[in-house]
Amino acid sequence: MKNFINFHILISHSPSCLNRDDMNMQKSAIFGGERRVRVSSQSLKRAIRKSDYYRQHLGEASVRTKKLDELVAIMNDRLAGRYDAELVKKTVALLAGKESSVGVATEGDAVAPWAIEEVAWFCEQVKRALAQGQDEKALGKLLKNETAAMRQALASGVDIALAGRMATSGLMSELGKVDGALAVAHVLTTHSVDADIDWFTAVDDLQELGSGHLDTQEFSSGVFYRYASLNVKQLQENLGNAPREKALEIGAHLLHMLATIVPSAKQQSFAAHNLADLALVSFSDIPVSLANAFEKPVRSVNGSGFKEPSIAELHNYWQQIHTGYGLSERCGEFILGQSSVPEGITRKSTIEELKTWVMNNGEG
Amino acid sequence: MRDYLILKLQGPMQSWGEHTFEGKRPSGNFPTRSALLGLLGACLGIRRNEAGRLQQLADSIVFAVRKEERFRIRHDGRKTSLPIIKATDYHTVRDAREDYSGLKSHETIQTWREYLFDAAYTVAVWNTDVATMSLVELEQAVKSPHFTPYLGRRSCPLSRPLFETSFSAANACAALRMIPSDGGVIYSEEPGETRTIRLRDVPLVRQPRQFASRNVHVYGGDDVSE
Repeated sequence: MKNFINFHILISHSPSCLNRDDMNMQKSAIFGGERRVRVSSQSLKRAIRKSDYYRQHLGEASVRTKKLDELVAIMNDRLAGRYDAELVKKTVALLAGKESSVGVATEGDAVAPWAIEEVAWFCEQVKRALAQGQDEKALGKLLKNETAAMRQALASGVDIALAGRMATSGLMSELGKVDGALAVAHVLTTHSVDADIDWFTAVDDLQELGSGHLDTQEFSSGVFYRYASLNVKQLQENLGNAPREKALEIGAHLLHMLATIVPSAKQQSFAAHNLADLALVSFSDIPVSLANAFEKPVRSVNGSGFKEPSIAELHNYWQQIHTGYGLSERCGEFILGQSSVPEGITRKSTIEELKTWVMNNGEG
Repeated sequence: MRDYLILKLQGPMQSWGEHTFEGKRPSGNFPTRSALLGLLGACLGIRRNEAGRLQQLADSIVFAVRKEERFRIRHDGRKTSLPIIKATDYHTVRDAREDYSGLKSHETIQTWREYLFDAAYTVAVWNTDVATMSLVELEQAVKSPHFTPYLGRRSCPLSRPLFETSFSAANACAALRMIPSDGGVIYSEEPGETRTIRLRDVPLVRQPRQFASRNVHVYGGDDVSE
């Protein structure tokens, strides 16, 4: 059983500024001695987590906050009719190690993701303990033996199972730590990028001469390499020992989102809503990125643009690393257009077919 | 002669954390002992709360790291050095605390995270005299890791498998010299007639986020400002 699913995506963006630094410039990196434009993994992960596709297929993302009183209000709202408000409040306080009280802003020690069904599961345990007259200490001890059952509660909050959680306070510091199953790399362009600076003015309709505002904005276009890897066993465990099929289904949805979701920054100005040109998926014993295909920056030759040479480099490098290290992998690829794929990679003509292939454990 | 396991750490971005609070997250110039133990621990499937196994691993192995010298061939055929670039990535984190005091609350805090670009390392691993975890076990683990291995941060993946080779050699430097290289400074836990620097990166397993100091012996290079 191959434990890692590696996702390699090439996606071309028209002029855009998807991720900025504190100087309002595009995030960048040096790779192979030359400047690349970068989209941080955090930026991409958040865009994925907040997408409609995620909500439809993986369920509601957890609430990430340290605002406990507002959290209690949200949980009360979602759990209304199942658990009474006092019990919800008591449960959250137990988990966070802090009481919230009306009219006083109460904050947990750090931002932590909270999944609704997980809180519901804890509400059930607290209710049971109270009915049996147990105190909090006894409850804490009891719950330590039930981590698997608790993880089961996470199954409807896939978010934490994928991204992980480092909780530091309350019951959560003992029970709530989860090592995420998904690793997402920073996204880099396959080629070097020089800055384009757009000088712009904003016209003030009520001003006769000149403009109301002047500024500059850096932007660029590029072919980006996205890489992520999913630790299948870890995901199964995080979901309360879910069957492999469940993890593979989540993997197929991740593939879809990695190939289609674009961070929203500056998209009202640039509308770089592009879909991936290539998605290569491998089932492997070890998570390995193919970024080194682009360590020597891709160059445009005779007006070829960057997309086709990037695809050629990725295929070329895949072959090298595959044979060089004798990697035992099962690989499938969806690629737009007529380009051929190397021997050893199963070609799928639509993203849906590649998703089905992932769900079939890389077979068929 | 002693047995060595040779690992390669390669990836476009790496970050080898030094002491920090949450706002500023600096990287060292080569992997710390705590990072390497964490990396191998992840491959072996040791969990963060398994203090016994973590200590067992820490007591079993010793490291030497070569910071690889790298060059690139320019269009005109000139060979120029490809330096490691240390750059700061800027982030905002909503609703996070800024420091451990917890006294101030911030809607959004700013964080500065250091990354290394164009870095590559070769690591020699060998057993101590009291080792209870064998190199064979480690080799198996890096070839088929249990948890996801990464280069200091989860967002910094490997761009080639960790495992390079295993063999016998007279000492750690000799072992590293058997691996083709354009050169580079070696930071070793094996003493020799060379310079010594002091690093505080030995994890105290039973006291999370606390570190003890160790001596690191530097072979080659002029700069000991690490």
